[in-house]
Amino acid sequence: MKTEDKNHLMEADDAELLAAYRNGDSEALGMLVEKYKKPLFGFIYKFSEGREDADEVFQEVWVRAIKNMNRYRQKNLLSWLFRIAHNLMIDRIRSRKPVVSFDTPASDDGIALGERLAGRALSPADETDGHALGARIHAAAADLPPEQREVFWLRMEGGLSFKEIAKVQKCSINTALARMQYALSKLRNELAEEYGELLEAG
Amino acid sequence: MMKTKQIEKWLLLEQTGELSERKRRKLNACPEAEAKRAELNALCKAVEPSDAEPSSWATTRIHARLQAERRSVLLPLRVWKPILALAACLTLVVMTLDFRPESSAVSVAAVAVGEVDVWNVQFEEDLVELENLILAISGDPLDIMEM
Repeated sequence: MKTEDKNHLMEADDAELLAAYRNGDSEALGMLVEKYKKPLFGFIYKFSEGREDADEVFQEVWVRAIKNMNRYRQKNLLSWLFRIAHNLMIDRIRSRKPVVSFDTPASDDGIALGERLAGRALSPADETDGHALGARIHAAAADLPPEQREVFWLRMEGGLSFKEIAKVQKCSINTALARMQYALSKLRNELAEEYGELLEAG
Repeated sequence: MMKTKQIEKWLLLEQTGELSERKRRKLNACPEAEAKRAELNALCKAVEPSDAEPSSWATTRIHARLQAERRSVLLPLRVWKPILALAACLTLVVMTLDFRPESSAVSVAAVAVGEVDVWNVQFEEDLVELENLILAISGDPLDIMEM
């Protein structure tokens, strides 16, 4: 690819990049994936059973997005990707429901899935280094009900507006806001001590 | 005086730029808002974005999967190609037969039969004329039979 074309692609918006990929320019896909990989993967990772699982979901989200790009009408591609991720994760939870219980050991180490998903205990390294507070928030957020947890991370990790979050969750803005408020309130109770630290640091 | 829940809600909307100017002015006028805003900002600051990243070959795999799916869509077409070609040939043959001019085998045979008939009639007429001529010369029909 010529440098001029490459520069043009770098300046192109999402719709142009999608169109370029459709016309056979595989580099356009790489640029899109690179652009959104952090928030999207970060969000997916919080609802997955590890990096490999998150990787699989991440790929599936992009495959579905590209396959259904005719339906892409929104201005915000990231919001659309989150919506696909949301639907995909709901499908996965539904398909796993009959066989996986939160109490059954999910792997050879005998740790139950519920523990794995919810109780992300802090490692000694987390406790001592500067990330301890952030890690405590992550651990506390893992105990939130799924809808509240999703709103919390769509806002914090994805940086979505409440209008976009409402679209992802197919609810009203007021519902999305209320879920966020409940999530923050529970985190405040859970992290009472840390909240003091937060305010001092802030 | 604004309720705490309302302040929190408006602060969340303010953070995403979804709060109207009128509401923002009202929020700023509320003494409780500043402390709540500081608390929310501190929390957002503490929640660092995840370091987790997809595998380095994720894009390649996404592209490969899309290519594979595209091929699987095209594969039936490849299978259908010879069948479609055969059908096209048959259609062409049928159409050619329908629109061929009247010089078909049947019409050629008919013409040939017609010509044979004409030839036979001519021959018989000549034969009859010859018989009459001989009769006229000989005057005795028996002689002619013997001839």
